[in-house]
Amino acid sequence: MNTTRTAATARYLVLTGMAVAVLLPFVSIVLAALHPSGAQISGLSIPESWSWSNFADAWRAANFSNLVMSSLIIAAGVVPLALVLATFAAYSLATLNPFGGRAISVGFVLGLTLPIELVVIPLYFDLRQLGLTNSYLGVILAEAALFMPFGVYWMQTHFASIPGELLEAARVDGARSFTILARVLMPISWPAITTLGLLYFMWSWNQFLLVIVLMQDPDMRTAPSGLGFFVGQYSTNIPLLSAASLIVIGPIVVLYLIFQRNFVSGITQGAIKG
Amino acid sequence: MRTRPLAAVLALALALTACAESGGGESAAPSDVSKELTKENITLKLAYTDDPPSKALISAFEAEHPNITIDAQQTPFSDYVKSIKLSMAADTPPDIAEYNPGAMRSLVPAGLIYDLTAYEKLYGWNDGFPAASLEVLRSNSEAKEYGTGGLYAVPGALSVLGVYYNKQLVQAAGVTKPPSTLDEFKANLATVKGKGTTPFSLGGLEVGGFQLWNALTNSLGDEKQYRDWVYGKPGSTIQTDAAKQAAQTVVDWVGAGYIPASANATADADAQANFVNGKSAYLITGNWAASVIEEGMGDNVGFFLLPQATAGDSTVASGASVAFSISSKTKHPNEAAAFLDFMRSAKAATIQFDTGFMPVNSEAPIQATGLRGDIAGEFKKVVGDNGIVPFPDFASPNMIDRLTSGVQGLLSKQSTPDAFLTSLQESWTQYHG
Amino acid sequence: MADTDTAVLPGRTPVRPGGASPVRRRGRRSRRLIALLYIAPAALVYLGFAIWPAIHTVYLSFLNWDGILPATWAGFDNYRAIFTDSMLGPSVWHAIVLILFFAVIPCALGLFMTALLQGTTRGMTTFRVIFFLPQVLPLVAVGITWRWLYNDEGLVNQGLRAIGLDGVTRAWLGDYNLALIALGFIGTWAMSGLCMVLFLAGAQKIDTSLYEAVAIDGGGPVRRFFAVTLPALRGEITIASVITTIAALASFDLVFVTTNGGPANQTTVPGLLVYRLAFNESNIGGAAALAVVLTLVVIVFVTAIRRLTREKP
Repeated sequence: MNTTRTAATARYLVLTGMAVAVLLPFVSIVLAALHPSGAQISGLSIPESWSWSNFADAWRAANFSNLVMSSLIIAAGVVPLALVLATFAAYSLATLNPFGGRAISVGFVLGLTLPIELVVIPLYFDLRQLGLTNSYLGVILAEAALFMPFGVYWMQTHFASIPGELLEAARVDGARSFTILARVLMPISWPAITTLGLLYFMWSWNQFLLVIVLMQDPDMRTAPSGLGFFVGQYSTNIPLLSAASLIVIGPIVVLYLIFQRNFVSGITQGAIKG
Repeated sequence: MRTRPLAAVLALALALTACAESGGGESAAPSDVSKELTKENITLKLAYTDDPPSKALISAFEAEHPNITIDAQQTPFSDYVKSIKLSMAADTPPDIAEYNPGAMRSLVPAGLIYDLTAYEKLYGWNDGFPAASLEVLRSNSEAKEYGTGGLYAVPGALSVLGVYYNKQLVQAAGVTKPPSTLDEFKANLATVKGKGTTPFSLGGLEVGGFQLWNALTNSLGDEKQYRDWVYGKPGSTIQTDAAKQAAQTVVDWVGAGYIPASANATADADAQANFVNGKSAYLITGNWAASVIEEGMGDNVGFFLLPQATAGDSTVASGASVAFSISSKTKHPNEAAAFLDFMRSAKAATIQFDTGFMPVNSEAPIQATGLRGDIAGEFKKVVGDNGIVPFPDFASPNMIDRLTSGVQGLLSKQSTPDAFLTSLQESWTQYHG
Repeated sequence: MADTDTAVLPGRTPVRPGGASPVRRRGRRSRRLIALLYIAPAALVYLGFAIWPAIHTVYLSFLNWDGILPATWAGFDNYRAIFTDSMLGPSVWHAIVLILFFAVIPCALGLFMTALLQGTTRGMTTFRVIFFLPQVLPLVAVGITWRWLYNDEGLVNQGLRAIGLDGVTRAWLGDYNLALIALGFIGTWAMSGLCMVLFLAGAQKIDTSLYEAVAIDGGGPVRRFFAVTLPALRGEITIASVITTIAALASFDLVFVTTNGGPANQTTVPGLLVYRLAFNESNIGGAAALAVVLTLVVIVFVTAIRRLTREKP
């Protein structure tokens, strides 16, 4: 018995050690953000006086009012659009046996490995011709398209896991395909949709390359892309820069802490099921 | 049968992309040039990145021409060089755009900006604009060779690269006057280092590194040879003894501890802040940083141009300008040209100087003391010697990356001066060869 | 793009209406056509804004184009440049080196820990939340944080001084030989937790009787690990290595804010150069060719991982 307890303690110690290693960088920037603006600081040091004003200063200096608003506008477009389209497509592919369904599924799955670098150059030139650069709509459509493979794949896996009898029963009752989706499938699909929605929000919030290329107006960029350029202007002011970084990661951390189960299952299970 | 969809997609791709990748034409010249301006109320769109001095210059021009409104849009530099070519190619481009010879050269052969030679003659711009400042804005119609051919922009404010020094730190080391030769400067660096002060702050992560090499090259070498190279004159090379010696000097200074070991991880803003905070005695950068440095250091800072190898040689320093060009699609070329002409006025000179730049019109009287006085004095000298040369990154489109990474190699003592210069010349030949 | 896996297709349970009278068959036909309408909107967005640009990139990669003037046909010149240019080739190599730090080390570390720690631990949820945290953060913020940690005065050097290693302190991201490793270590930091959580969770599902069988055969912990644990974690290893490998190859954000490819091009990666060539240097064809090569490298690695970890029939 004693050896198991020793093993458990050892396990616990190792895990704690690793957890500290993961968290230490955050401790470092939180402490840095609380130093007076422009202070010369080192690694981990407790500020003599806590200055919360860095957050307000960083908010103003990086123009976060506009940046966060842009991030939210883009997310508010991408998340519902991509969710609805992916759900419809996946529903059809999983249960309605469409013509060419297998080929279409393969087509979507192929998109899972395409790096964003492959599409960003023509997106810029093509969207410019359509007047969709420097526009929320352009970024929203591009992100929705890039997130589509995972969404279709994820929802298709989900719908395929629903027992066929359930659909069969509804169909025998004469229900139309849309009614089956709305009345039978949706009520039991909210967990899968919530997870997908959260992942979509996260990817949209974190998207960097696409936004810096498609948005030339600095006020219309998202919070992380604004931060990417803020670092060039204020690289010397560590407290201010730390505060700005915390502002950008704040929303996503809060969501993550509330919905950690969804995030973890989304990142891992999506692939496991395959 | 199976290949047909693919073939169809490719055919469609070719058809659709054809419109994106075609277009363009010859270099464009304005017709009906005149000093007579419209009396109607008009609005000119202007795209720019540098402020100061742009905003103040625009306001002053509007004050002189109440019926002309300038609708100005500012974009940060890195975004500007990326997007301006595309906005100039759009159906309704800005009428006036700040011009960067390195990034915007393709606008010339595309015929998207006017050749301003007709206005130059009409207004007599050779009077009031220093010859060297116009030279870099001239190019042939393919934009492969500078310093010759049509004029595509005029300067709205001038900048020059030089050495800032912390008066307290150098005086504490016993250095009492600015050096008159490069060797004297080297001796000063050794003295300062001997007192335990790091001589330089250097932003090797960005452009600071190659500006040091650039300043040394100008100091050691033949200015005409260097200028020809940047201008893309056939047969030019940067693989010269002077450029090599300059690169070797950078390596030597790292070895001697004159340059901090962390230079390659230091951004330009960091290097500037380190200098302002007294962590080093010297900083090499342009007068665009003057207002920030003066704000931080008051009268504890001075400025000189990196001296020539031999005392009394004519001064040479890299300089650039905040320049403006005119879209060939503008409906108001004459009014836009009037804005350009305004840049050499005495009124503009005051604004240019007050905002930290050097006035375009070097004859305009300016009052300056302290750091500004140092800069103005040095600038007058180098303009008088016709010694302003262009920055090396204008030489070809990817030269700036070759320069930055090449000097990083020197700073980390991992590449040789020869390898560095070979890489620069490779980029030059790719573009001009 | 989604950090995820090219998985096999999700299993489908097509509903088979009973019987096959002519009337029903016609009904089924029209239903199968209507089914396509559900797919159409998603397919259109996907084709228009992902597949079409991808094809367009391939086309652009065969052109000499500066973004403004008429393009000329370049043939394979842009691809040849990737093998001959002193910048482009190394960037692909750097990305592959990063796989070592983003994928190989975290997976190996995760497996080692799993072998060491096997068994249930209370409070796993808390650990899981912490270990997964780097996965959800914008890489720009992660990069800025580490830029500060690696600074002259940052946490890393402070730690080294605290243990008496003043001699090795340096500005890590500015060190010619160590910058790429320093960058890679950020990936190790971000990915190790993910791998470990995945493997520990997978190991908990292993039937303990399998371990007993090995013990009866006289096998020790090493054999137990190779005979039972490792094969049982096949699925988790695939997922972990695919996610981390893609993260390593497509690492634009992190490099852009930390080193921007420096010092002396020691940390350039394809993503960074695609952006630079296309939008700063007006070499659209070269950028497109590099993007295509990057995609091929991703596909080769992902396929290789799937092959290697596939269960033998």
